[in-house]
Amino acid sequence: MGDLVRVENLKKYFPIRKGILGKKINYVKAVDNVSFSIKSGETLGLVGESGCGKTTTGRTVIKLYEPTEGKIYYEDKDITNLTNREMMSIRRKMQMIFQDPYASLNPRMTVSDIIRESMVVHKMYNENERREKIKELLDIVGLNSEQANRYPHEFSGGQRQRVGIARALAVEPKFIICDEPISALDVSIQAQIINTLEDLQKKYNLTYLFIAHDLSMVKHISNKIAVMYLGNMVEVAESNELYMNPQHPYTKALLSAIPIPDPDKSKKKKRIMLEGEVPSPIKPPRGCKFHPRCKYKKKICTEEQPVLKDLGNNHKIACHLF
Amino acid sequence: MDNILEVTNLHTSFYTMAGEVKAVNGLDFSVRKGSTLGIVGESGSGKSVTMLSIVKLLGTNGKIKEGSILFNGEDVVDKKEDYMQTLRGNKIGMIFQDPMTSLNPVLTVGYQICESLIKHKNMSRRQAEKKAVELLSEVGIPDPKNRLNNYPHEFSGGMRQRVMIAIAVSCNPQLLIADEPTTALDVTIQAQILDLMKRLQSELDTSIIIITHDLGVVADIADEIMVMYGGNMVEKGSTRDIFYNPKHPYTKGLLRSVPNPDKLIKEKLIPIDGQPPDLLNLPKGCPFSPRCPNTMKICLMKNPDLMEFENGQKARCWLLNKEARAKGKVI
Ligand SMILES: Nc1ncnc2c1ncn2[C@@H]1O[C@H](COP(=O)(O)OP(=O)(O)OP(=O)(O)O)[C@@H](O)[C@H]1O
Ligand SMILES: Nc1ncnc2c1ncn2[C@@H]1O[C@H](COP(=O)(O)OP(=O)(O)OP(=O)(O)O)[C@@H](O)[C@H]1O
Ligand code: SF4
Ligand SMILES: [Mg+2]
Ligand SMILES: [Mg+2]
Repeated sequence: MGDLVRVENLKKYFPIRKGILGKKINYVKAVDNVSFSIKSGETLGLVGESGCGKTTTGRTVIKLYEPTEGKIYYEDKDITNLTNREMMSIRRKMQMIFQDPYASLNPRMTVSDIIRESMVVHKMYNENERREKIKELLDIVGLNSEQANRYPHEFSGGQRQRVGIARALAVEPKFIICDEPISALDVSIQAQIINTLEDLQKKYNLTYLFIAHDLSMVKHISNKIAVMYLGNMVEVAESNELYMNPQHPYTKALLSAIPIPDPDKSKKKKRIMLEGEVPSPIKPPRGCKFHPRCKYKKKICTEEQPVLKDLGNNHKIACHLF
Repeated sequence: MDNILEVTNLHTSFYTMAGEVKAVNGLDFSVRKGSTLGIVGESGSGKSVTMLSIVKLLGTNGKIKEGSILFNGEDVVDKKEDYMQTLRGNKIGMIFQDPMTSLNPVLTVGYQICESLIKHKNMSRRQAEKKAVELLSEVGIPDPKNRLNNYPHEFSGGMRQRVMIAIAVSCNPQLLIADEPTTALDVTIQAQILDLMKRLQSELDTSIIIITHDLGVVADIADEIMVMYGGNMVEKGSTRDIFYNPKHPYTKGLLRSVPNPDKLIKEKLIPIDGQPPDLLNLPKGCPFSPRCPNTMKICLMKNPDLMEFENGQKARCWLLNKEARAKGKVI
């Protein structure tokens, strides 16, 4: 199967301005040379420290942000430099489910208006068809059609997140970026949403980029997992492989910090503590960006930035130890 | 006195256009001095409202209708706002669920941390700033000295949350109430924050209430766990008892819903079907009955009382009542 989405050497820098003239004095290098691909119908999990550039990566891939450098391919078509108008038909196929179900739904619109809006924007269906479609979508995400005329604040967090999913599905997307879609929900509802996402994926051959801090859930839903550190991708592998056999010193520390929902096992667990301070994306360290916190660093780590290398069986890592 | 906090028969409601939202309905619980209570439960089950009731920040439409809340033996329910201000941010440290709304967007982060140190601890600005730098570095903010002059919007979501944590612990509170303190954080920073809380506890005997959806977090940090559903406690016990010997069907369902990352072959997750109850129209019987796999006739008619066991574990479920169980037909 081919890649639905491919990203090559993607960079996104945010200028920091100062003074009344708005002179650019520096850049936040939020995403700094990231490459990955996602096969059609599969899920790539994206994990890493808070502030490492996950959300920015997601938003840049669907061009909610203009990339600073690099290439983005959708179905092998280079979409990096498409104008907004040219993007219109492709944008419909790329949707995003946001982290915060409270902030991302317009409080003054009913649920059915919220779902209808995106169909209207993309000029899909006539009004009758839209009404049918809304019913169908509510059913798919597990809400009943009586609830269609309610407002977001009348729903629980889990129900709101379903409204967000229904809205994303309304325009028949192929690629959905799920940015922390479940972290605000209790685990019994998290499991409902994840099962729904998986069922939909099978039914419509959807492709997901799944961003989350809950590594157990990421592992559950993803085929592959990519680990980011300070704007770079440091390790990518099949999810079982990454979980069982992590290689990068940062990935090892990250996995060792997963809290285990079992008090006795949790007490016995050995955590790898990271030394040193989290560096700033404005003045990232030279060489390997992880080197100030890495206990295996060698001289070369402080001088040269390691590139992603394939260790075989599609396990890629950016570290001078390999 | 070994309880820092004793909540008895707490009823808190919000008055909305649609009617009275009974967010907390007759809640009883206590927190032992120097211990950590974890609160888990359905989203919308009243966890945050419980915390907001304790510090009396319920807004204009929220009201404590009944009950008492003893902090250090003193009931705060009838206390005036200026008394509450001497507690909040001082003896009671608070980390709110939404860091966006609880930081002031037009004041620098440094100013906001120093404010309470100057007010409650009589520090000079210079002393407060020094302490603020220490606090920011303890919560893992890089380059803390320069970051003091930033405004909240210049921080990522996770960084804002850490600023909230720094403010909450700044005055060495006797009780720290943390509502989802680590949800927006990656696991390495989360571990660092949990360590910070444990250290605070062992050095200053701080009591902690932590609200979270992450069962791994409560397994790590809590001495006791309270499980909430539909505005009340459905189970409470020691952390080990809750994990290894849960009594309430909701607690059991929660524990089953968690994915097991050690499994190599993917299995479907086991959620609890159905939706949380509507607090405008709570069901007459047990609020969990519409989703419970074991519902009996009596469950639909009457909300069960709290049953207490020898080990101190408590649960609210008709299945635990021998008579009801013998008579009850599962429907
Ligand atoms: N619009 C923006 N303007 C300036 N800087 C930004 C902007 N958006 C993000 N940043 C910065 O870019 C970096 C990466 O942010 P991003 O939101 O992508 O992180 P993240 O990995 O999603 O973190 P989290 O896990 O906390 O959500 C951060 O340092 C952040 O402060
Ligand atoms: N200001 C308010 N006005 C009206 N209803 C409110 C208000 N604040 C909370 N509620 C309602 O009270 C109930 C309990 O809310 P609470 O915030 O305590 O839930 P929670 O257990 O903290 O959930 P979550 O895990 O999603 O944070 C919810 O049904 C909520 O809609
Ligand atoms: S490249 Fe060097 S510093 Fe970076 S992770 Fe590998 S060993 Fe550590
Ligand atoms: Mg993000
Ligand atoms: Mg809450």
